[in-house]
Amino acid sequence: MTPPPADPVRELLDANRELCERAVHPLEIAAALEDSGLAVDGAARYRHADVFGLAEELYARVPRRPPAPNRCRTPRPRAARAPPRCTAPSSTCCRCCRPPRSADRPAPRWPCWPARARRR
Amino acid sequence: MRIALLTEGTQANAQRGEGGWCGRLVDGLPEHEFRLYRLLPADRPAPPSGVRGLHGVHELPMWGRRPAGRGPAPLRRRAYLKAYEELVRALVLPGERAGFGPALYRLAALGRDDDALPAFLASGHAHRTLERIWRTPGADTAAGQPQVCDVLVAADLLEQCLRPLSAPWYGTGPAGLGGADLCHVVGGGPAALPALVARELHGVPFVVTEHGLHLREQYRGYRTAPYRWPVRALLLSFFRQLTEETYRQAAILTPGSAYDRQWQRQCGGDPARTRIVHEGTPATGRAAAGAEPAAPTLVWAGALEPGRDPELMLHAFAHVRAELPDARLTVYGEEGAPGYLAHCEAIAERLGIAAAVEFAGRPESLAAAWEAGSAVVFSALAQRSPRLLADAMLSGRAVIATEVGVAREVLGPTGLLVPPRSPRALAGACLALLRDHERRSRLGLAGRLRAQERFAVEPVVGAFREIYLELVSRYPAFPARPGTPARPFARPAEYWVAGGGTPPPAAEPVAGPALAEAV
Repeated sequence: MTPPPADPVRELLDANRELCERAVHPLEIAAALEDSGLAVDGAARYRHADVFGLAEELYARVPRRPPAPNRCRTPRPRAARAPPRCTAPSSTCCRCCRPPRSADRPAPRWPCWPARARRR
Repeated sequence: MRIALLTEGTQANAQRGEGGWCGRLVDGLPEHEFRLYRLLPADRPAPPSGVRGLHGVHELPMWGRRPAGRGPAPLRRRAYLKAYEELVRALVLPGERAGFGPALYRLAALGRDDDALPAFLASGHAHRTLERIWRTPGADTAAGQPQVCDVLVAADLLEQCLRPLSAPWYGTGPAGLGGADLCHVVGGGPAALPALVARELHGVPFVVTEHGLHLREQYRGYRTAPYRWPVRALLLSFFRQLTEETYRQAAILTPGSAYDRQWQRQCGGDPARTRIVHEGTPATGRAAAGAEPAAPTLVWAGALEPGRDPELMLHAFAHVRAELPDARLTVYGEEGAPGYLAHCEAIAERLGIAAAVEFAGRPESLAAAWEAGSAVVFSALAQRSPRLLADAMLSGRAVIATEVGVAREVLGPTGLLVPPRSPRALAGACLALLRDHERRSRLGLAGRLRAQERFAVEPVVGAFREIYLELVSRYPAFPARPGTPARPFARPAEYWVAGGGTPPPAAEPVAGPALAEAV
């Protein structure tokens, strides 16, 4: 008979690594574990009293690694789809709204670039 | 008593006919004056609430285009910005969670004065504040590298979630929450916002009833939502803080099952203020199912989707069929995931049981579905709601279920529980029941009696009658701000008599009992 593994949470952690890396709170992991059929006796197999304790251990053992940011692909909800103009500070307003800059024209100084873009 | 029922999107209630849960509560307590306050999607026509005997229905469009209106004047904007900054800090900085409630009430107070809250939340000033705090080094969301589009999306979603704060419901007139004796939040989530504000403003206590926890559904739903990680983190943090604040401030929590109570406890629900009130169903009056079919038949019901795990049922049935060649399986339910029905049919074909399995689609009624079998099987991976299990038990057929979620507390000793994802265990339980007619009928009868006792409508109505009276007796001097000393008997007995407005004709004959009970 093989002895029980020294770290039974390890295999669960490996199976759910992506979930744990992207979770925003232990409760999210708990909800996902319950959805996958883990109940109270399932948590006992991992030496925890309930699913919440197990989820907290998983959350603590895996560092957060959100998916890498890419270009703005998030579909905006209907109410936010057409803002009248970009209202965020322009120092942070990067590729999503700045007009393409041509090589022959010097880079416009900060406060005036929307005006130049309109004149063009 | 004047009771304000607060719900969000009562589509589910309307579907179940007779006004659903709220309708049964209002019908069962005709001595109280109920007003319904609903949060509805703005861009779709609202279904009728279906609740009869209400003294008023107030609706607020939510989730859609922002209502028109101007932002605050520059001088007031600083106060708005301060409160909003405090709110966002409470959402993303772990050390500042305590500021959530005060910030929420401050925003509500500002919005009540000049109705400029929705326009402020959509303004560039609010976006800049959100972005600055979101990118603070210690913030939860800093790891996700929020971008400008995330700021816009998150600010817009926050604006929609906070819309109940600027509802025109906070007066002390007959239509306002300040004139109610208590609020009853059905469903949690944003529907609790008006109750929180009314408690802060007028000291009106509130009860929270949840069937299927709002926060858990958000965690499940946002996993597949089309939002980037920082937006998801911020919104889920908002819902978590809102739920914790709701549970902290609620006078009584009434979850529908011990399983939900455990979740509420994790979110800060005080066990001393929690009472389990099972969800009543009118099906308890239904007659038991008739004679069993000739061939031993198993019935499986539910949406065809991976979470319900019909595959487990098929694999277990292959084992059953090997032992009992004349056994049959009827699968009721519509496709929950695209292509899943074909997948299940392919599995049945591969296991060689296709001739004995019938995919019957949607049954004309649940009672007819249970009647078609000798025993009912639930093979789900997660059982969050007791509704379907209780309905099956009420038919008087023996029930076999996987031991997840609410199954153990609903079935108790009257059904067979097997571990999830184990075809052999499920097959063993099915065979044990199919071979033993006496045990099957004994368990079925016990299950029917147990469900009739727990899921009847009258205990629910009785529980809430007591909860309402207990609450009102504990808050003798409201409307008063919390913290001010309560003065018992500050109001004459006539104050509690129903009939301030124009009662509907159905409520008139009961003015006598209402008076007697109020005095």
